[in-house]
Amino acid sequence: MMTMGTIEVWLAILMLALIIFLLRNSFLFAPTRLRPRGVLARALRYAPLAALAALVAPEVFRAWLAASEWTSALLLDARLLSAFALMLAVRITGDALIGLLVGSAVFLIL
Amino acid sequence: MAEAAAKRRVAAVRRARFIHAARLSIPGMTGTFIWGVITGVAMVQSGLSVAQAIGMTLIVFSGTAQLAALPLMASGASFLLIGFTTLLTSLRFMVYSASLSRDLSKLHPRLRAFAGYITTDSGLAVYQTLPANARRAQRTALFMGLNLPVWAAWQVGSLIGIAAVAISAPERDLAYLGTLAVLALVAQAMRIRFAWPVVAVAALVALVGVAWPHRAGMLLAVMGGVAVPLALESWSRAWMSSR
Repeated sequence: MMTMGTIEVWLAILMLALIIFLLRNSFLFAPTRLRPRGVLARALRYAPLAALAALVAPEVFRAWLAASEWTSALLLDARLLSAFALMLAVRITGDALIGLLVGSAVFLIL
Repeated sequence: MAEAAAKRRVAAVRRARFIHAARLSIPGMTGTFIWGVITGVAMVQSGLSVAQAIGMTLIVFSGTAQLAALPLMASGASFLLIGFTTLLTSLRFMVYSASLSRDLSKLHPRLRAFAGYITTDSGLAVYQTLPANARRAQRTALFMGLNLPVWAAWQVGSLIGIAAVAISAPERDLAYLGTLAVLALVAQAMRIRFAWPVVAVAALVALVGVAWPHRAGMLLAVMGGVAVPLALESWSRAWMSSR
């Protein structure tokens, strides 16, 4: 559920749009010699993966985080199993779309 | 008369170029469409109104950025954290713009800005398979032909997803489908070197620090996920040179 108010949501959407617009246009306007180099360039290569992983982990393990004690039912959680099926499908096929379809199907069935 | 005929010829070449490019974009359209449907569902299920969801998909026009921001917005994260996350997860657009700079930086600024807005992952993937000399002629028609159909597929997919949830009002919370879409991006990105330590460290720190104030766990997770592969890089270099 959304905890932000209506105006806040619109402001957040505008902020996202602005950031994405500036990133997409960055070197169409700025000279490419300003491109990040060295350690910064290498750090920026890993940052998207780290941020996305940090973002999804609490969602995937939500049942585990909410549980007060360990039960075997936690292994059969729909979120966890569909995430596992997705990772496995991408690993086998190398195709993110197939992974998403497999993961979604598992989540909807469970 | 001759001038008008020449203009018509140029227009015909431009149209042919656009259509040729649009054909090349068809495989990418399918995937983008499905991604759009899922994002549309996730937006409304995360608590956006129909108007907000349509507005987001039209002006942000980036699945990754939209999907990444949704759980943060839903939990009332600060604008600073939402902005920071958007920046980090969408850095590839900077790389894209740098690779397009040579071909597109001479366009009129307004057209160039539009080209930036319309740049899509799958459009760019096709663009990069074309030889450099094939990109120059009628570059605007080519670039728009590669990306506009993908843009349309995304918007139609999103609208269908938004409408499906708005009309059917599913009993179950389907916002998690958006998380699965982000996870699919993670899985796909795991081809890079040191991907496993990046994901393991970032996920673990995020889980341990999930209740820390100001979402500090998220920030530390990103820092850890970036620092570990950098350390591994320099160790492996030192190890190689010591042999």
